[in-house]
Amino acid sequence: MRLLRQEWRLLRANRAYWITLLLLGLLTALAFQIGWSRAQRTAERDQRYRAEQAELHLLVKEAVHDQSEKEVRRTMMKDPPVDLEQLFNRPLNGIEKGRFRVLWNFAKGRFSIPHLPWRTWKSPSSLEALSVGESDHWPSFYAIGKEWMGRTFSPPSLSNPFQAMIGALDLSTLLTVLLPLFVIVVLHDFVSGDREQGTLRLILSQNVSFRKLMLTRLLVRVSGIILTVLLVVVAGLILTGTDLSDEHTLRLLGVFSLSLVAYTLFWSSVAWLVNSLGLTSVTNAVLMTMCWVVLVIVLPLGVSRVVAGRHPVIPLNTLAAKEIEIRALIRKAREQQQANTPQNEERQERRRRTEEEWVNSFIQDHWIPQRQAITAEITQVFQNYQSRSDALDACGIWSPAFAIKNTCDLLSGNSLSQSIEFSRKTGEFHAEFLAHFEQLPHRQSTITVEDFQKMPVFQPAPADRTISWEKLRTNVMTLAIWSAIPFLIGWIGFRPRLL
Amino acid sequence: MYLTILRKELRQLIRDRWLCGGLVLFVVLVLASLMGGIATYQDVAARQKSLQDDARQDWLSQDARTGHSATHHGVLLYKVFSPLFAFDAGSDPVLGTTVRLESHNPFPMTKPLAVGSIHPLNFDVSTPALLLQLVFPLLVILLGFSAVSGERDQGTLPLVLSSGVTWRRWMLAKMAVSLTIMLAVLLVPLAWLAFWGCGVTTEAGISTSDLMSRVVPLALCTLLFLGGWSFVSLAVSSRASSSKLSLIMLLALWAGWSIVIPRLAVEFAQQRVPLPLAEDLNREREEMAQYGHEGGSVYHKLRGEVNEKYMQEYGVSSARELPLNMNAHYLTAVEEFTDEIYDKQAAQLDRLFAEQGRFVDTVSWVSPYLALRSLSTAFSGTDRVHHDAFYQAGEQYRRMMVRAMNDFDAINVDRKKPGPELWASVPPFDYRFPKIDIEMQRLWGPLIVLLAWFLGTGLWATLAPRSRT
Repeated sequence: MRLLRQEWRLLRANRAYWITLLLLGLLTALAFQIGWSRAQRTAERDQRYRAEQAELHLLVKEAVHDQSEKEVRRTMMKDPPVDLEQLFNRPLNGIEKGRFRVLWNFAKGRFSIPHLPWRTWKSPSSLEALSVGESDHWPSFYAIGKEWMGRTFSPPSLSNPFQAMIGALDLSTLLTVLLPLFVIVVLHDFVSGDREQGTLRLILSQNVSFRKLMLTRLLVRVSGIILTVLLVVVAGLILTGTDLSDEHTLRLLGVFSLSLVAYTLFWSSVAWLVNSLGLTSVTNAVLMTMCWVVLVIVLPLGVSRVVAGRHPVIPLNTLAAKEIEIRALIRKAREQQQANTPQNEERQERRRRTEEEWVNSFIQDHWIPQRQAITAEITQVFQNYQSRSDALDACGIWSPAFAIKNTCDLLSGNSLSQSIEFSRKTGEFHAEFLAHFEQLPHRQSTITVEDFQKMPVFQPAPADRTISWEKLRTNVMTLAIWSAIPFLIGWIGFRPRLL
Repeated sequence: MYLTILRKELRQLIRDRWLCGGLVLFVVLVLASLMGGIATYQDVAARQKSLQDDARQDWLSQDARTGHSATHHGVLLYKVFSPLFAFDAGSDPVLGTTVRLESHNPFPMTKPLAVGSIHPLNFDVSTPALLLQLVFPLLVILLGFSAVSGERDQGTLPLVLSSGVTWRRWMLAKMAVSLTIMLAVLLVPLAWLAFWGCGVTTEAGISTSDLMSRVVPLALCTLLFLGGWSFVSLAVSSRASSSKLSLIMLLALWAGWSIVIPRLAVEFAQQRVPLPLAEDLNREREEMAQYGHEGGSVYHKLRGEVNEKYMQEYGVSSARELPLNMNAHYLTAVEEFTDEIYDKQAAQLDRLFAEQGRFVDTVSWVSPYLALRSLSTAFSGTDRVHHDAFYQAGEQYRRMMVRAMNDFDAINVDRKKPGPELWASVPPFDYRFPKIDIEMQRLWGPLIVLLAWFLGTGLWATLAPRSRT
């Protein structure tokens, strides 16, 4: 306690330290604001899509329950037999009225329901503001592409390419890239400074363990950095209305805090190790900067190149072209089959068939093979992406910067693995949705109330509920081990070198 | 005197083996990165060329069908990349490489090169340009942070000053040495780039003089930027009480100017001028056509108008009596209508992008890195403006192709199915890479910022601090 008090007193007089903390606090607040404003946009979109899909569902429900028209309509210009404004409980403008009038015509037909504007989307995490993650590179919503499953994965995007080039400043980037620089500024001279000022002899003359004294100093200084970031983040979360009484959110925040502490301690351990070498403050700062360049710039870049080379993937938007190829192949095979069948037999066969049998054979020979083939292709593509993501996660052990970034991305629900998972689930939902209509009795062209009730509905789960706790544990453990190694080496070699 | 100081400074640098080693290693790294860039460019350019040839063949060998059906068969265009992509990929990796041309609707460009790539820490330095513009300043800082403060720390500053050299002369000599080093580091990769680039001009659709009119300003801008960093290092070093403080201040400036401010600028530009969602624009376009006429389809209205127009012209009472292929005339009217909607939306988007760009350009006064990125990508031909130039050329080609096909249908009253002669009447898409003049007006701002940065920091470095020792 005496040492703590003494260090605190010294620190209070250190104006540069407080200016550094103030700067860090300001930057953290700015980065949080950026993450939060993006999270706001995601939340607004979530709300909008929920409302839009609910209205669409209501429209289909009403159309299915409506007994005034037994068959699918042949005209799109006729008004629906229900008052849509009353149904949706809101006024509709001319364009919306026109749109719903057309949609009503699709809302009952068994083959036309998949043509309605269904969609899937990612629901935001409670800690979305922590990281932009992969949200700039992976879609967070898809428009379900009717019976074309591959086309679903070619969403048009619109963003300023200059921004993509420069990158975003979110909290995770601040912590991963800039926080170590703050630690370098604060701790590079925590021993060498005393040596250079000539006060080290005075310190050694005190009746206290040198290591204990220096460790106290290191911990006091680094705790200021950790507390600043944590306080700003917690205050930001409270001010933006995040429910911190929710146990799940609190657990996530706990993991974030632990990771932050471990990562900051890692850089403190580097400072501890470097200071144990008895070099000048300038050399310490240069060495720590070099270490930063290697761990934050060179290693991640090298690792990502190696992973990309070892786990090649094809872009999702090539799936649309792949689907065209699959359809063409199936069509060719069918034409070949028809060519081999004698014409008389084929004509007789056609005459024998009822309409129901014809629909049945069309679904069996066209739809189901096409859907199964493209589903297999999509599954394979996502498996490749998943193995790339797993390889990247495994590389977390090579750099603590990877581990902290990965943790923040996971907590915000914007990690690569979560983005892949969302896209994969979209593919699964689409396949299930189409299969539902394929399996209906073939004589009916409209769907019944029962069919409607069994119709698959996309329910987005909040991204933070799908977090892999195992991955988080591994990341925190990785950070702890990284922190321990330089610290222990430094502890062994820590000597009060006076010269 | 100058020569003596220059020799002394150079000798001092050579004595520092760590820094010399670092510089050599860095040059090797830049050259390796350039080699990778050239290989990527050659691979991409060859693939695009071969796909474009296939697409042309596909258009020419299509079956006999009506002209309008041929527009739905469509044409694929593959983007022509600038050879300087090898040096600065800019925005090109995130923008599309292919566009499908069909009637009624201009499709967006798809298949960007960066799809599926890994962004480990959202901190990319994988191109020679980024290495020189983002990482090299760190090396420049390490070269210069103790240039004056080191002498002060060692107590040799009074000795230097007592040798008769004026402060300004001493600083100018140091600046000259720094600039020589920068030039040496820049010269090797940029000379290689220019030499290699001149060999691929024909395939890239760019003239040698145009290529050089891009490489030379690119080199000069990078030199101005790096020179500014070296002057800032000298100025801070001569004012800081110790080398330690000088290094910390310079690191803070680097982080602020190269990472924090640029990212904040683009983020706030997005917040101030938000872009609409692409799907909203698509939907708006669709809905304007489908339900834009009193909640009903505009197409019905257009058909009525076209029929009315020609009925009046030919003085007949029914459209069936017209000696024309009315469907083709109607489709031409539809095309004009959809083109008009697209032009309106494109103009609106251009306005939004320009507003965002203006905001970023204003912020570049406090972060010259932003100005350099604008200039570097513009001179390399890898920014949004160059991408749009290609897209617009493709759009003009689409309109020409659709008009030619519809015009053929309009006079083809007996509806004979055309053959290869009609397909061959549409010339192949021949894209000439635009000259830098297309955005020179926009680039004056960043150029002035960079010049001000170079001169301002140079002046700051040559001014003697209040307390020299």
